Amino acid sequence: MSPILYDLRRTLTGKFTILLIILIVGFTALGAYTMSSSGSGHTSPGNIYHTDVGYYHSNGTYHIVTYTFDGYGTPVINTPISLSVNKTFYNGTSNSAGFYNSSLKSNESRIPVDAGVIVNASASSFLVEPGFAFMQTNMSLINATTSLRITLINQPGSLVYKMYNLFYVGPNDSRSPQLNAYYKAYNSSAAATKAYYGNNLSTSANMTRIGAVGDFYTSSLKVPLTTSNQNSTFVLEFFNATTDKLVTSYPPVDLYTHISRVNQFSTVFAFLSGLYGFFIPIMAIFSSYLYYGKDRTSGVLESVATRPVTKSRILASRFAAVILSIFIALVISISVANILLAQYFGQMLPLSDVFGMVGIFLVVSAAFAGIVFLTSQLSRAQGTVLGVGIVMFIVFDMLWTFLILDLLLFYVFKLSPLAPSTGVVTAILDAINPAGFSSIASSLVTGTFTAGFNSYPASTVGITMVSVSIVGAIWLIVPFAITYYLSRIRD
Amino acid sequence: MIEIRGLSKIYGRNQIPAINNIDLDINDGEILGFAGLNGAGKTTTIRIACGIIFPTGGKVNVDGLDIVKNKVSASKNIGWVPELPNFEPNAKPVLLLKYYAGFYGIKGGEAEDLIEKLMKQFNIWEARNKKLKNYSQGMKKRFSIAAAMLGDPKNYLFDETLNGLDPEGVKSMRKFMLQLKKDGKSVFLSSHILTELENVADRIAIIKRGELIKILDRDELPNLGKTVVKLKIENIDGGALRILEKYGTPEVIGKDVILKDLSFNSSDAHTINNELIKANYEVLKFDVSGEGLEEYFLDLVGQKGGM
Repeated sequence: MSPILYDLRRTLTGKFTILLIILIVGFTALGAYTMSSSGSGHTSPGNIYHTDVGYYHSNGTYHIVTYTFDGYGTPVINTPISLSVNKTFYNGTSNSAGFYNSSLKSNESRIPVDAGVIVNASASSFLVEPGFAFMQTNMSLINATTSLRITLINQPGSLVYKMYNLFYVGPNDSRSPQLNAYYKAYNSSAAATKAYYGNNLSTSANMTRIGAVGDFYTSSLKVPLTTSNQNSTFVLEFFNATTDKLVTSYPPVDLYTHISRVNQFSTVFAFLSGLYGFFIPIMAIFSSYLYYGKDRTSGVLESVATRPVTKSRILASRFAAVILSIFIALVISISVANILLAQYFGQMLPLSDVFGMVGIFLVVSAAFAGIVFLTSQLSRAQGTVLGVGIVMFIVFDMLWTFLILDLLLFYVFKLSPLAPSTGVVTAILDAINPAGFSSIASSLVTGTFTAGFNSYPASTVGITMVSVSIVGAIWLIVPFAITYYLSRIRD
Repeated sequence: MIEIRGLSKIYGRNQIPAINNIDLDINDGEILGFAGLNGAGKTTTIRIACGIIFPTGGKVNVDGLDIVKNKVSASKNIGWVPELPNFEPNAKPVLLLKYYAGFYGIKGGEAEDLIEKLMKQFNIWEARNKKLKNYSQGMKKRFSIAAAMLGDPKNYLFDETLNGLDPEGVKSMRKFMLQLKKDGKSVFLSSHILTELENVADRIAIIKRGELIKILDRDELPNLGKTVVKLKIENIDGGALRILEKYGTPEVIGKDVILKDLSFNSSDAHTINNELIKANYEVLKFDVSGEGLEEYFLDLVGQKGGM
């Protein structure tokens, strides 16, 4: 068996490696799934609530219906709603289908109503459909006609694909007429000039039917979208199923919102940094200890060192095995995240971005691993090697911002968080921290570096392709190179 | 053949040398015993010779190749068996031996056949599926010998290998080392068990506080140190001791007596025998010789009368 293969196999099949790979891939997949379904990372459509209001007359009673749903069209349950009718408040919560109803007894065909709706939700924002918002008074229920509310919402789990949410109620104690929904995609510039394309179905130009609406109805209408629709504007029209006459239309809208690559990279990287900032240093530190430091300090490596091989070769082989195991964890987990988030962003990040992220975190892992290897070379005590690794993780990874920025710079040296020099100093401090490389590397991609309470253009704090490349190369190579050199001359 | 020239090792600043200017040859077809007290520098010497640690000065040539400058080539002819073998505890023995074999370019079926042969030779084949952490110390030592033999090296270094072995183990090790010698290999054996060194070594090198102080040929072993008279007297009593006290200081163990600090020329030793016989003592054994390796060794390293 080739010795390098044995080292790779031993590291990759080690319980610790397998556990960490499972944890990293698992948490990444879970996080990506959660992000795509809840939209954390952006203002989440799932945190925007909409409330449609409609009414119908039946057996001498006016029924006022509210329907609350989120930006993905999912009914919102147990949301407090205050319905104001003629200065009387009816308080309740939306039921399991998102509805809250109130009624007003009257056999009059026309009554004045002072009505309003308050949605007391904890959502980041909520919208009550125009025409029934609170304080809009003297709405008349007389001769109520069919209420067809159309709301533009996001397709489930997507930040870029939109669809229509329909809410169809009324009118007077009778069944709502059946409507057919048609859409047409137009080039954005052409569509902008026209609200709709005909009063009659027969005169509408080549529209495509996507569904029907009738009776009491809540549903969503999803126009099939492809990446070619990025420059399209969509018109939605409803025609009476019997007469083919136009009933209503929804103004031209873009159903496909393009997310820029930089924006997507930035969001994905921020999400991954949260996970990898914890897991990657742990994997690098403990793998280096378990598969090199411990063997070296306990004397296990001596039985290898007497073979026809140099100690520097053993060192390189073990280091490569550790880095490869982290590389595999990164490639799998970032690929999984990219696939899961593709629905959310409407596109996958290109492979160059994926491997860019892998490269950034590999530099971080090589830096931590290199320092543990170096400590193993300098000390024969297992406790020292492990202790240095743990202290390094705590200081560089967990307390750096608090210790260095908050305590040292702002408190001891009285540097203002708003001072222009703070950006430069923070960038330098990130550069000398093995965990900080991911911050400056991502700033290079996004063009913005955040320090203190300020954001700076990356180039103004010295973050350029050259400086980031130099810092990356130093962290990638120097700790290992020193260790390699020492292994050839010192023992 | 291993040639050690001017070998020195200082582990840290302000430390006395662990070994200092050692010169030693271990010839092909020879077993060289290496004796010294704890901390004398035996293990340091062997670890340098195996390429585990670097020397501070001097060099070790293994069949003409410098163990530092030509580590890979030189190590092909080194087989090292430590006192306490230390392997990856969770490794399976066959897989680990395949890993080691890879360094010698032995792969695939050839490696498997060799490993099976060696493990069977050292009676650990039945335990091939056990993890090494479940091996006893004796099994680990046998595994270590099998591992040392993988590349069929020309030179073997045994560092206190006899320690911890049961009598059967010691006997089989002795037989194994003599076979290596017969096969023309050079064997460097460090041990506290001086009688074993006497039994197998062609020469014995004695090291004290990092310095080589004596190299003994096998022929010198019987006459080492001060001359003593060893007797066995069937009807030993106070009268016999009074006779012996005229010639030296008798030490009595049962019927055996060792007469030390002789006050006469050893060539006249027969007069003691004559006087005992005249006094009607039955002398079963009478031998004039050196005091033995152990006594000589302790005299030499200055530890006589307590370690």
